[in-house]
Amino acid sequence: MNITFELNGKIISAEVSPHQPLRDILRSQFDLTGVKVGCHSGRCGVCSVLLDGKVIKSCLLMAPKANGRSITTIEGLSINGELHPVQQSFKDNFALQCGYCTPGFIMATVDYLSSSPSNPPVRDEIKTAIKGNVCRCTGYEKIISAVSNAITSSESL
Amino acid sequence: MNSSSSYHLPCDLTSALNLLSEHSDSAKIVAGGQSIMLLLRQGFLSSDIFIDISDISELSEISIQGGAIHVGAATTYTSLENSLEIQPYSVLLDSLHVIADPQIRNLGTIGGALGHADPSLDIVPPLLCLDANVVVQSLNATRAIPLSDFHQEYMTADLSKDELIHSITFNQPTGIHGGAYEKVANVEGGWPTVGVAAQVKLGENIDSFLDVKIALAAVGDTAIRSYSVEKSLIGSEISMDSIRESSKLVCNDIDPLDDLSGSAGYKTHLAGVLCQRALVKAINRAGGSL
Amino acid sequence: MSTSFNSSPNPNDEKRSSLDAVGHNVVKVDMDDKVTGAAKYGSDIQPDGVLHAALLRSRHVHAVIKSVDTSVAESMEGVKAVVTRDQLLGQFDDRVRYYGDVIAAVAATTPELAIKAADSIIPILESLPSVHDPKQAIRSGSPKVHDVNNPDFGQHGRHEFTVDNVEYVQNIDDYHYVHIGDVEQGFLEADFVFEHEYISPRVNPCNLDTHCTIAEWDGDTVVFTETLGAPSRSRDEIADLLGMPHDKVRVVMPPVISSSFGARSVPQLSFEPVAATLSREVGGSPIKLWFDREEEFTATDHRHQTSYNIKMGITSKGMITAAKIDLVADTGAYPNGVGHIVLSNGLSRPLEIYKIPHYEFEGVSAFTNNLIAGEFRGIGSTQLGYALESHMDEMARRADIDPIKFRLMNFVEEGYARPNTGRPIESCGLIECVERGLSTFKKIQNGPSNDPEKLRGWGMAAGTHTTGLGAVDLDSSEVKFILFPNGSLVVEVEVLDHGQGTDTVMTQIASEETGIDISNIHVQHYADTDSADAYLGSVASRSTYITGLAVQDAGRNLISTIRDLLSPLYDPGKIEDITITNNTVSFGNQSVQLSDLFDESIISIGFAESELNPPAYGAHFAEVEIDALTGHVTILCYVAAQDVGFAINPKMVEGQLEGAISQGIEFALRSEVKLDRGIPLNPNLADYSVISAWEMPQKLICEIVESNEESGPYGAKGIGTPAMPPIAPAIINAIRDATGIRFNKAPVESEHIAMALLKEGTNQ
Repeated sequence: MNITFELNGKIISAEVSPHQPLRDILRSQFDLTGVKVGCHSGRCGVCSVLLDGKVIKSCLLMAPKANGRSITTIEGLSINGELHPVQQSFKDNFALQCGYCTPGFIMATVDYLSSSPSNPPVRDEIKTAIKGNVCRCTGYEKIISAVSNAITSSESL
Repeated sequence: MNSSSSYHLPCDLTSALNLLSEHSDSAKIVAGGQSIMLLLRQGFLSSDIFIDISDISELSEISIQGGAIHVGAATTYTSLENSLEIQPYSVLLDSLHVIADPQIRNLGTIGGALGHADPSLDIVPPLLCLDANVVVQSLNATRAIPLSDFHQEYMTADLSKDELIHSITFNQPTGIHGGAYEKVANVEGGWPTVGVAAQVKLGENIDSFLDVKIALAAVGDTAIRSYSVEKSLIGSEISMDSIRESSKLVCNDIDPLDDLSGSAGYKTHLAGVLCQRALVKAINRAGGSL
Repeated sequence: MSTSFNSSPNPNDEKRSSLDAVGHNVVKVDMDDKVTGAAKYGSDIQPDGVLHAALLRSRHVHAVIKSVDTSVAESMEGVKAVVTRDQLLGQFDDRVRYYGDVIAAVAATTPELAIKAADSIIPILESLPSVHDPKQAIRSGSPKVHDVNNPDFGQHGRHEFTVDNVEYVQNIDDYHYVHIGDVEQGFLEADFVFEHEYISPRVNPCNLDTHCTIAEWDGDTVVFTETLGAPSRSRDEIADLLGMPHDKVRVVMPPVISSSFGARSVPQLSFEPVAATLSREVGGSPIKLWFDREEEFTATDHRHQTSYNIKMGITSKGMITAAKIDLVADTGAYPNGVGHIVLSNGLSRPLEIYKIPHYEFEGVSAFTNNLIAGEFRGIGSTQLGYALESHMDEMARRADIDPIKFRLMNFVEEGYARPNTGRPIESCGLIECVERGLSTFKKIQNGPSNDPEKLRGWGMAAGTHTTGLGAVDLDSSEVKFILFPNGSLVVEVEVLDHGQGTDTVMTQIASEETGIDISNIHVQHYADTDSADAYLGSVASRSTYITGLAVQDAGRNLISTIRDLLSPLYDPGKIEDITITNNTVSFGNQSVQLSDLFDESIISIGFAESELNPPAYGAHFAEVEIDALTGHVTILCYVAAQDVGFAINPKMVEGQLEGAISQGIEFALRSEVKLDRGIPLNPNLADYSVISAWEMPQKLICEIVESNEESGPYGAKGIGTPAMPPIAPAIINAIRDATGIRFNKAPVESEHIAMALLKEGTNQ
């Protein structure tokens, strides 16, 4: 079936089947390879994108469900080459190593920041916000710092 | 890719029911669609016609009518967790807080969970404790089924092919009440090894049980009430001893299996421990003390 | 937040302040593409016309293939090649030896179609008796996985050996034995002797980016595009596996390197040979073989499950008199050279951390019909560290000696010659690790709980792993600098940045030596095995140590080359101290444009070698709180004090430690590939637990100890793998402290704890 949706700010159409997860459409039809493939079971979170501003796992989203909705991927975050504040915070805080999980963590953080997080930041609340994302390299500490600093610096804007 | 498959996104309930009636043999209702996506990938589901109910606004509504709360089937875990109406239901909130992760909760729906009928779902025991009814609808009829009857077999809901889940309803607790959900999982947000919900109603002097409801996840073919524990407590004085002794009776009502999450022996042990803890928390929330 | 680089008074502060780029928290150089999603990993590459591969894998653990019916697959439109096991390039006979062994493979126009076609193939297999316990496998009478011991599959490190043990007769992958002194005499000298067995889990590195290769043929040369941590060693292994000359295999790195933790350090039997065969079948066109998560679990390597039996004798004061260690490691169904490393590290590590006058070690790695084992962070040392430090702790507690004092009095020290090799230990920060770690730990520790349902305890473990490949052979590295007149410097290195930060470290060192600004330095890998001969890659925590030295050398050579260019023009006294800033060379108050000195570019080569393989040390401390009724373990605080010689980038050192801690927690408490007679029960991330931020310690502090390794760049030695060994035993020793129970099989799951406590009646 043909669906129309907003992808990173542009209205686009795509031919999809209900058997396909949105992840595969984003990668194969739009070359949005920042949407990663990790586990096929909804655990790892590397395929996280925003659906109408809320973070979801695109390996679990039946592609037709995107119809009429808005999808934002990691590629849609930075504007005119300027890093999004969350991207900048991950960079400044050494919050990544291999980087494969990073787009997913950043999307989860963007959603979390839009939902009135506690400020000053609360460590357990941050852990809950990122518990749907797995990182194999960092042990999460520097990711927690990146999220925390993104909260405090968004306040100062 | 399956070229013969069709996917419908009706905007109103009547269209959805018409479609369902037309394709009742082969259609699958989609809410969040996450479990369906997994089943499709694993080849466990062969449906080609999908009717997606998430654009039907009345199915995403939460409302209070005549002392009962109605939660539309397509309500996501996240919107339920954030809704003002649900805040007094601590048994439900406890479970919503520990379900999976933000991404899964943003897509997953209450109706989808109930239709899926997995005995390990965290959301079911609290709803059992609240005596919830499932409202199902076909083109011709609407029926309300007690949740405890809705799930009778492993992964099977009492739903005809031309029916969809419309909503779930439960009464607001009255009197001096409190509830809690306790869970053990291998990792935070993981499937429960065992989950236990407790809802209590206390006497005027908050020293006795007027009513007790206990329900468990992951200890049998379906989520299940523990009438043994309930019976032994209802009418009795509140004491740590009675809670401890009664919680041991939970083993009469459950039938856990050895699996990857733990042995049947461990799960039986956990069921007793968590039952006790859920009761204590529920009593404390009701203002009682131990 | 709670993690901080401890900047307590440190003799290195002065050294650090004299350095501009090295020793400081320079921001990682590979971040921009990774935070924007622009980074292209191997699995993101999609060459035009690429075909997709899928495999039919064995669901038997040991069987003979009688026939394979591929007719349906062959008739499918879009299926371009179907090959059966007997047609695969390499050593594939008619037997499958593990769940996941390859039976047939398909190439098709889409991944979905390839899977469908592979599923349509009907094999007829005849089951053979199988063996799953490595201790049984090596004894006569058990089914044989391979007809001979030490079969040749092109694995690195393969060597002839003689088995001294008459009971070990078959299914032997490798065997190591040493006897130093006289252990029986040593036990006679002891006042207390204690013996115990420790079993480690079969865990998977769970790289999020699963294995993916693109194979194609260029004439008679096969080219693989994929991350391989030790590319030229792997090229040789693949060639040997395929029975081809080494120069007919090329390995090309994708634009962005995937994480590895060892998982990408050796080729995989059902991976490269299968993709190469399919590509040859379709006339050399590219074939993409991308494992799904279940294949990652069933057909890529796991950390060897090991059984360690340790017998140790001590005097009444606590001095070790003798140790006898028996190791049986489960290699699984095929060799890959890693069994050898597990055994040699198991043999050596005890001698590199404790003074043991009389020592006997016997280790065997055994073939079974289980999943294949291979490299994973701290090969062999992680398992040994867990067993040895569990034993040290238990021994001390039983002898009523303080476990920390017990270790302190037996630690090796600087200048101590390792009895197995005779090589001295040049730098040893063990005592400082214990003292600083303990002091920090005491400050953040919660102490006993008032709640009888919450059992608290704490424990520590020390650990070591060596830096570099010096133990195997002389380790060496060569790098190339190319300086352009605009002042930009390209640094070509053999080591790969899997994310651990080697590109940043090399940039820092190059900047330090030349004065060139970080932003003008670009590290490139030898992206192709054709461009370098000796090409060991990022394994064995060697990168900073050996390649860092080579970068230092190249930097000094570059400066000397520039000095040579200046010397006809200037007084030698004036150009002694020169530095490169942007596109000029400065000395004193003068400067010269680089373009005035040379036209196109100048090149300098750096070289380093070492056979020291210095041990790096750590002492880690954990406090746990155990729910006495559910057995659930919460790690309240954790302090990792780690001797890295010198921290070239302290934040990245912390990152390595913190990442290791997450993997150590999994080893200790959560993760295991569970097998039922060789069949994996949880080959997916829904059933196999990987931890999230929630399972990390509530408070975590890294203490970086700097013992200044003379042979390393600026005093640095390795961190990635040496961080691993102390973690699991520190946690398990804390559980011992909290419960009074020694758990000797990891992971120590909640159920084990709860049921053991129930049995002991502790919580009645």
